Amino acid sequence: MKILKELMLVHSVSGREKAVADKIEKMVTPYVDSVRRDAMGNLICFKKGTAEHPKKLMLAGHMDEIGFIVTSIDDKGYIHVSSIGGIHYVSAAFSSVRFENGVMGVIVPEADFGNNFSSDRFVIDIGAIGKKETEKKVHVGDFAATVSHVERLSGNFYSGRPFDDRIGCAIMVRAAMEAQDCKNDTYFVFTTQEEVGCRGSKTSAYAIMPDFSVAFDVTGSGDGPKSRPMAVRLGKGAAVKVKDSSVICDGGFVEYLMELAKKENIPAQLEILEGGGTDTCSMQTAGAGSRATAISVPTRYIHSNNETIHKGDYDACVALTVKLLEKDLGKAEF
Amino acid sequence: MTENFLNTLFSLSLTFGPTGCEKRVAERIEEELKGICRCTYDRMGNLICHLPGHGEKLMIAAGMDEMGFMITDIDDKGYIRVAPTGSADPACFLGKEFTVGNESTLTEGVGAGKVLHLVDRAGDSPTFDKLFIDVGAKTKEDAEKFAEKGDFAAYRGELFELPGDCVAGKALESRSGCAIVVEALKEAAKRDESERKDLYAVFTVKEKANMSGAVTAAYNLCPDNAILLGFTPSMNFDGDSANGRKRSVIPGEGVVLPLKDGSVLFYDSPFLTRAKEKAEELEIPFVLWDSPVSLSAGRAHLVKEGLPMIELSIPCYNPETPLAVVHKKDIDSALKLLTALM
Amino acid sequence: MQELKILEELRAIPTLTGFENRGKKEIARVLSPYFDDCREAGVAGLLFTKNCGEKDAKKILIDVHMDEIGWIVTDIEENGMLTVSPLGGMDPRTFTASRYTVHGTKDLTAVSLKKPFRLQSGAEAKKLPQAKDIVLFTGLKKEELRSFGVKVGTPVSMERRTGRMGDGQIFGAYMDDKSCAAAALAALEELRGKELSYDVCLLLSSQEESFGAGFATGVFDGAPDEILVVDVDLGFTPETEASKTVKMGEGPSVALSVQTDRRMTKELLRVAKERQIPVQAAMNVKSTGTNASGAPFLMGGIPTAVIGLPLKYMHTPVEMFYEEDLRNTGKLIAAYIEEHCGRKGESQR
Repeated sequence: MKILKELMLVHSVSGREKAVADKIEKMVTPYVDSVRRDAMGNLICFKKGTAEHPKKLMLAGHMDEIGFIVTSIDDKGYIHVSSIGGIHYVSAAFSSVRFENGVMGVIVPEADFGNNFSSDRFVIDIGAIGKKETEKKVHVGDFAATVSHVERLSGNFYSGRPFDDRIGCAIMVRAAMEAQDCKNDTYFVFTTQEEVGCRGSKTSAYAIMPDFSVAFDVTGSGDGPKSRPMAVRLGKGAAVKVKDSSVICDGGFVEYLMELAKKENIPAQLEILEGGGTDTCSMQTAGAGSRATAISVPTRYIHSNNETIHKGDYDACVALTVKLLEKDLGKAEF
Repeated sequence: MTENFLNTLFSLSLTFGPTGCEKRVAERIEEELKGICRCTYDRMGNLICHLPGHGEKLMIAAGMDEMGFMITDIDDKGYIRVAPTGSADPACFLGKEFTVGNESTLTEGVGAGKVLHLVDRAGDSPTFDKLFIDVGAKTKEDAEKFAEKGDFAAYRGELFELPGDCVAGKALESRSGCAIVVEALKEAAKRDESERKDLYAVFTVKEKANMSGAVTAAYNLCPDNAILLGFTPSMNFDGDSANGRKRSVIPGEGVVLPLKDGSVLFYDSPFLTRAKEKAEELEIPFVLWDSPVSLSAGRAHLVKEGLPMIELSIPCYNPETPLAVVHKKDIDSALKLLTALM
Repeated sequence: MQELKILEELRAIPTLTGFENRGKKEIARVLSPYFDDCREAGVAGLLFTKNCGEKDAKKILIDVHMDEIGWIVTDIEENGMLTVSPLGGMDPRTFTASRYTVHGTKDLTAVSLKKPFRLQSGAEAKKLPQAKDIVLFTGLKKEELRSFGVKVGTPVSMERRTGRMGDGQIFGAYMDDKSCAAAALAALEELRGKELSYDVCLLLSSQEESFGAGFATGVFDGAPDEILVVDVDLGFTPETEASKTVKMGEGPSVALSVQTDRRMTKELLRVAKERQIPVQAAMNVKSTGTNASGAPFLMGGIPTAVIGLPLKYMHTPVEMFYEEDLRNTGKLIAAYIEEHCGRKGESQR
């Protein structure tokens, strides 16, 4: 959990992913052949494949998280914000938030908000007493996010934020570290701006034009209280994506990963996410297309302040990814 | 279930016989019972088959009609508008195949409506005035070769077997009752007159329009007891899949002996106790249940001085649709019990 | 009718949206005899090429999507009921009591179950069932289903019945868009023996009904100079607006839209008139609602036109069209290619 925790505690709202990118770069550099960043801020780490005719395999996990951007500061010193990404307003209301520069605040709904949860009915209170005082610390265009944290619940359950998607990044970092032999030309791409429309992965996928691609992200589960029916369960292993609301994954690749998991005794389950998209679609449709799927971590309460995961699933995702890296996909028949 | 019985069931179910146009079904039943019973029709069109016996006068009633529609209009292009004659589901029309016609001519058509891409409120169920049947006609005259205003339409489709001994197809919720009665009469006819009751099988018209012939037949025949054939919808899939499905009768678990239905209480009848004991004695699987469906035949229990009755009910998925599903075991159970009670 | 036979062969091959790979080999087997080359292209697509014989010839690409709408299994319940989620634009008016095929390792027949109408409350009865309100019933137990390879992600298709109706109308599921593949082949038959200066490609693209991954990637792979998207078009019936539909039995439609290339569109109409092929204009001003919507952004933009086969009751198991319209669609494609991609056409550019 050390790598994951370290990544989770960095501030990284969509469009402001540099701090996380720096941290990941430090972690990954010793294990790859080259590292670069592109115009969108994607961190692209490349490891040459050892196979005779290596195929291009792209892995993508997004570095950004949902948050807020300051739009104005009123006379009383309250900060008005616009949302970045799909904010879970029930959870966000009355949460602590932190600005990039470390300033703390509380995000509060206006008194008469009723059921109208939208960003323009929320303000951030940093304890200032007037516009001038506030402006000393926070400016229009600054970014804030609800405070990141992670705690262990009972057993192997952990709760905190943002698991979405620092856990995907952590899986890729660990896989890069743990893989003994990368058979394929592997691109570990830590993408930007996923939460606002999978933007970073579009440009990086076009640049790479992979043959195979795998996204790493969180997915929902069917075992929360009153959750919508879904076959995915926490603790049942890595979720291999069949479909979400932006992509239908390559059936052969899905089957291949499930078989691989079975052979290596890694718990895995099939996933259909009925609401939500991922970087998978960008990679599938880049250029002449690639055979794409995603490896996901089953998560309860996504986008809330207390996203909840099972450590066993996280480990299973890493194990499966490591095994995948060690397979020559050029020789795989599916 | 014997091959012959299954064939009877299939052939009866496939016969065109929407509410108000049951003649074809009645004729099929008459054919089946040729040389076995004396078949007559009453003034309403109900088919009454008498198999004389001794002692108790027992009336057995089964509805012949299937969920149907009446033609209300045929437009210049030959598109046909219909209205349901019973409680048909408007969500079960578009994309279904239909038979359109009357007692003498029939043709095929498909149920249609506004194309999905142009529907504004896609979540709302359409109403029948927005739906129509396309028989491939180009003009009104084309369509009128087969049917006219006041004629009928019914679901069309083949019957087929599913794994696990289930049968699926149209009209099964009512025609399986007819087939069971036909088969039971054939069995009873093999016995000596002294070993069976005085049997009156009534195949009724317009059951689904709540105008059961059982009522008029009960008035005319004055039976001692009556057995109705009906169906009980099975819904063990209803409710929230994440938080538990509802309890329900399940096809394959036995014939249902309803304690009551919407129009009649059976549980106070000594006849039900007798039927239950008989089923236990012969080890016929049965389920006691509250049937949520009101068979109009039930009203016959109030005819004249009252008529003790029970219902043999077949658990059924999707009743009154082109794909009703029943279980062969339940049909066998009902047949066995009915035969025993005769 | 050769094209109708091909249509039936194609319709018999399940190619559900996102699951085209399962049927690709079969599709290739049916269509390859009509082309010089067949290869995989883009995401789960197939690209067939008829060479004109010239080196580095230009390419005209006919796009027909091969994918079909249906269901995807989301879970198997303890009692063997399958819960499902739609693949593509399934019409909720068809969810009640329909017959489907579950494509496990073996094809299994299934029936959709819904709470009976007469037991629904007034409010329930006014709403159409959603995917969550139905289950699919096969009669098999959970373990049996598993042994037939049914699991989360197994695709399910509608019943593939077909029939004829009236004079010259054909109905059945999945005429969208396989009828247009048949029309494209009819066009190739017309072009047989004609001298062309273009290679003619047929792209059977994937995922038109879902996320559109097939067209852009397939075109990228094929790199054509012009594209003819051939797709079914909404046919006029009662309850639909004449202005938003095309007439049945009066020939293929040519889309007039900001998304299509004006020169190509005008030429299509002109060629049709000249050769007396019945044709009608489809006024899809802002969007054609077909794969062509993505064409202006492809590889720096590729001129694209849309030809439509008028079809009634789209996305139901009884999609219906006129044989004659299919034949004329083929003729129109052939006429355009002959005029503009033939030896004679070369000088006109």
